[in-house]
Formats: sequence, structure tokens, C-alpha cells
Amino acid sequence: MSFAIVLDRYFSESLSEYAVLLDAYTETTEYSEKFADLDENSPGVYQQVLSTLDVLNSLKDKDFEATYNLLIHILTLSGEAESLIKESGLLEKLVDLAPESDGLLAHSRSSVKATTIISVLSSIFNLIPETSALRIAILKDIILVTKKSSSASLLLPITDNLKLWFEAAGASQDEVKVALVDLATLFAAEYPKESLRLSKIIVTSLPNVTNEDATTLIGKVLSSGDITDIYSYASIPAVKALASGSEFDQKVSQLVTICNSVELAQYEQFQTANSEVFAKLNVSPEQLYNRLRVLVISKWATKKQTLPYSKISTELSIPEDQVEEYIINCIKAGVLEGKLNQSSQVFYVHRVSVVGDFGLEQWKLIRAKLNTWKGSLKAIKETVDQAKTKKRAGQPKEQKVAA
Amino acid sequence: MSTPVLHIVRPNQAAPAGSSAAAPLKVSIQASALLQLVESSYHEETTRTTGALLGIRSDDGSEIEVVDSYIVPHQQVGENLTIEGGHHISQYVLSKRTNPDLALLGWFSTSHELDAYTGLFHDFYSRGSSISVHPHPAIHLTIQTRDSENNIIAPKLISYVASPVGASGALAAHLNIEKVGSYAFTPVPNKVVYSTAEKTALSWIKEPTKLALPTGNAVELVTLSQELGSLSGLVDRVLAYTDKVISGEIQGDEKLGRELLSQLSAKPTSVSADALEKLFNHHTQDSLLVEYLASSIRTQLELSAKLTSIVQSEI
Repeated sequence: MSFAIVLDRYFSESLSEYAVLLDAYTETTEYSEKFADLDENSPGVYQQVLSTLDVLNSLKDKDFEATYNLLIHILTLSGEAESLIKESGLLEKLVDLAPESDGLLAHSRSSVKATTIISVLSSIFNLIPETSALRIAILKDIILVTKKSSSASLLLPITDNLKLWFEAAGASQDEVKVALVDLATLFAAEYPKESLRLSKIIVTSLPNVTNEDATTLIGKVLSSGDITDIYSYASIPAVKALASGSEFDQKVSQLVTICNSVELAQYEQFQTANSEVFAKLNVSPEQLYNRLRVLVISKWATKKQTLPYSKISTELSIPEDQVEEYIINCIKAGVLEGKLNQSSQVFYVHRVSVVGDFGLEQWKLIRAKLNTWKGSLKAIKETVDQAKTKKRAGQPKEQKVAA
Repeated sequence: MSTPVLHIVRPNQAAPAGSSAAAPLKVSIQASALLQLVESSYHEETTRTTGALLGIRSDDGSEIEVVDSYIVPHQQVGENLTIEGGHHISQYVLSKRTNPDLALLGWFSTSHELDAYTGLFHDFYSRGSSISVHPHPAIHLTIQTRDSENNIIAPKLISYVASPVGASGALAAHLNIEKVGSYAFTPVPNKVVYSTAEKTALSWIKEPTKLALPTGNAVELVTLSQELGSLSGLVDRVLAYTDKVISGEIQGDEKLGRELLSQLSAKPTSVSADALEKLFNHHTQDSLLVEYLASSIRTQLELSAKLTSIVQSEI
């Protein structure tokens, strides 16, 4: 079940209401007279109804959606609403109507709000079957409307489903990609995280990925605030394929490897030799360096429980009075968890994110740790069970006073 | 419907307080309300069971949480629909007394079809009754527990908001158009929310009823022991997975591995096994003492009741 209109009425009643509404707006009796003798069997009746679109589109925002609902209802009675909508150019006219403004709030009193237009479009979208190719057109139109009215934020909730809808409607992979890339570019400035997520969807789940898509993704990852999970990008096949691409692609691939293994010295070398790569990726080398510096601590903190400030200072060549600030940055970035002890100048490590390579060695470590956990759990369970039996034995018997 | 509905802006709703903002609606249904709804769907003697939904509406009306519901009987004869408004009012007043915070949100139906009656029902809850959601817009929730072949399926919930069709308000009155029950229903996304406590309770309900269940505060220990059992079961599963990865049988998921390693290396302020045992024993002793005292007091009370009755009969 999806969008549905319930009206307990005959076709002619709906039609006359529609005519009266248009008349009330144009202050004539033109449409009532024109539609008076029509019923659902009259030839070309729906085409006649749709010929009123220009008048309908000049309605005020308040009545706009309700009248469109009525129109949609009339069209559904024909049983071929989909083709009627397609032929009449209804969608294109709606898009043309969208106000061009700098945001959701700015709209003039007379024009129809962008949200109202999107609401009508989504009603039609939900009305027609999910396999209909018209759905693709509607989605594209909605994106167009938001572009025109600079209200991209409206689209944020649909990023996850866009691909699904396109595929259900039978869009080709190229079409899906174009739409996703379009959306990712739309979000790039204001919502970099969403844009990054979309790029990842493109690179990981579409078959027709190019090296360019992969480098765009890497550019977004490296310039984003959070690179603790860079490994998850490094292992994407399309990103790995960069290693055998053009010269630029190879450089990017090299950079990903350096960042993934957090080799600061190598990074510095790479940076001085390849500044043009950073420019092309739109990544600030200094910011990236700072992020890597935050990550580097997890490389040697994994096996330790306590870290004295002095050690951090010497190991990472940070002045001792900045160690605390550095650790706080690490915690903020989600690399570390733990407690600072100012009086004894020690950091107690609770948890460290795992960076760098991950292989058999690490899995073995996991196994060892799991076995320890299993052992401790068993011990605890025994304690609890013992307490349980002890308690049962010690439970007072119910005493009844004899009558 | 296999693909989700498209809902990014709130439609123009047929209520004075609706549509103040265009933010999309979010409907969440609490697990207890879901149980009530599922139960209602088994009352099905007629085509549908309907009733009112109670819950919490956020200030801007964009978030709606269904907490409670009750059935309102109705009769459907031919084209006429009679809803027992009196029942609705008395139920509402009763629930208002126990839960003053809950507001009327809309209505539910166990029929997933939207037809002309749906519009009439919606009218009743939006503005027809003396107790309606007016001036807020009403939501409509359908629950489907059986498929077209009458097999029981996982409950399918769809929520709708209604927007007007055609002329409305003064214009409709002026043009003398009958507007009762005409709505365009737009589907909005919904989700069922539940807490851990509810999940635990449900796992108990699922157990065979004739099991000898412990009573009193021994439940705590039994639950704890069971939870520990299931936890070590989980650890075993992960261990088996890890073994397979190490032996090269399957390709390990790197992301999973990293997460595991980082979580397992966590060093919480741990308690030693000995200390834990000591704590537990203390706890057991304490609770035993309390139980013993309670039982003595009960005996004392019973005794004194008996004595009083003897003394009274003597007099």
C-alpha cells in the first residue's frame, strides 16, 4: 500500500469540483461550462483535464497541493495515470515552477514553495508502482527542484534509498551512477560527510567504477576530519586497482598505503616530492599530517597499559607541556580511550583503535584474547552458580502456623 | 512494498496546527503498543478492528511516538458507519487519568486497505468527535498480521498522514461541496522501538510456562547465570570464526577484526576473581538475612492474628 486518495464520489463530481476550483481562481465560469457535459467515458476527457495545467500551476501555495491531489485522483480513475502524467509534461512544468531562491525560508508570498512541489512529486512517486520507469524521472526532478531552490538538505534522508529505487525502476548502472555522483557533488560543500558516504557507495557497490571515482573518494577521505578508518578504504578493490593506473593514480595509491601504515617519515618525503598530488586531490598536506600524528600513537600504545608523559614526549617528539593536549586530541579523534593522571604524569590506556596492517598475526592475537575472556567468564559463572546453590540451601522454609 | 516510501517533506496537512514546518515526519511505535495492536488484530470478526492511538507528539509535530492504544467499537452497515463515540470518550478519560502526559495521536485499523470508510474514520478522529486530535493532524496506522492467503505473517505496519483533496474550508462550504471523508493518505516511515528491559522480559515470556521458575530475588542470580552462559556462547562463536580465519578456511573481515581487537584490548577497572566471589557471598548472605527476617515477621503477624481472634472469641 502506498499513496492513496479516498473519495466516496463519482467521477463527474470530482471533475466538477476541479472545474469549480479553477473557476474560483480565474474568476470566470469557463471551466465549469467546459467540463459540464463530460464523464469518464468521453473521448479525450483526461487530455482536456490536463490541458488546464497552466492555470493549476498558477494557484497559490495554500490550495496547490490539495488541488493537485484532486487532479491525481481524477487521473487514477483513468487507470493509466502513469502514461497520462508522462505525456502531459506535468513533471517538467512542476520543475519549472520551483522557485529559485537561496534557501528554504526565502520564498515570496505568491509563489509555490519548493517543499510543496516536492510533496506533490513524492505523492506521484509513491502512487505509481516501484518498477515504473517514471519513478526515475521523478527522482531526478526532485533533485532538480532542490538544486533550483538551494535546499539540498531536504535530500539527506534519501541518500540510502536512492540506489534501491533506481534499480527497482530498472535504471541502468550508468544512470544510477550519474545520479549518485550528481548528489555527491551537490552535498560536497555543505555536507562533506554525506558526500563521502555517497562516494563510498559509488565506489564499493557499482560495477562501472573508474579510477577517477576512486581518486575522488580518496580525496574526500583524506580531507575529512576522521581518518581512523582509512584502512576500510584502502581495502576497496577499486582503490587497490589504482596501483596499476596512470602516474597520478599510482601516486594516490602510494599515499593511501603510507597513510594506512602511518609512516610519518615516509609521508614527509612523499609530501615534499609530490605537492601537486595534494593539490589535485584537494587535500591540505598540513592537516593530513596532523591527523596522521594523532594516529601514530596507537601504533605503539596497543600493548601498553600505562604511558608516562615523558615517554610520549620523547617517542613522538612533542614538547612535554603539550602532551596532554595531544592526548585529548587523540581521544577526540576516537583513537584512544583512557584516563589522564596529572599528578603522576601518566596516561592509563583503556582502549586503542587498531591502525596499520591487519593480518594473520592480529587474528592470532584476537584468538589469544578471546581464550582469556572465555576463561574469566567461566570462572565468574562458577562463582555465580555457587552463590546460587548456597542461597537455595540457605533459603528459609515457609513456616505455617497450625490452625 | 519492498522499496521504502519516499518521504522528505511533510505534506500540507488538513489541520490548523499542521504543516508549520516542512521537516519530514518520524513515527515510532513502542513495543508494548505494538503488542496491543497485534492483539487487537485477533479480535477480527468483522472486516476490521479500529481504535485510538495515544502517545507523545514533539513540539513541532515532526516526531510522533505511539505508546498506548485502545479499541473503539464500530458498526459498518451498508454505507453507514457508526462509531461508538461514548466508548471512545470514556476510554480516553480513563487513560488520561492514569497517563496525563499521553495525547491522542490518531487511530489504527487492522485492515490494510484504504477505502471510503477510512476517510470517515479519519474524519472522526481528526475533528468529528468531542475528543479528537484537533487542532493537530491525525495519523493513521494500519497493521496487517495475515497475508492474502490468511497465513500469519510478521506484523506489517504502515503509517499515514492525510492531506486535503480539492477545495477545503470556507471555499468548499461556499461551493456547497460535500467534503466528509475525502483525504489523500501519504505514507510516512515508521519504526518499532524497544528497550533492553523489554527484550529481557520477552525472552522470559518465550520460555515454556511450566518450567520451575525460581521466585523472589533468586531470579536475579538465575538471570545473571543465564546471561553469562549466553555470553560465553557468543565468545565461542567468535572464537570458532577466528579459528577458521587462522586456518585459512575463510577470508577474515578486516573491519570486524580491528573492532574485535580494539574492544578486546579494553582494560576496564577489573575485579579479581577472589574479590568477586567474596562480594557475591556477601550479597547472598545479605539477601538471605532479609528473606529470613521477612519470613519471621510474617509468622509473627499470622500468630498475632490468630491470637486476637481467640481473645475476641473468649470475650
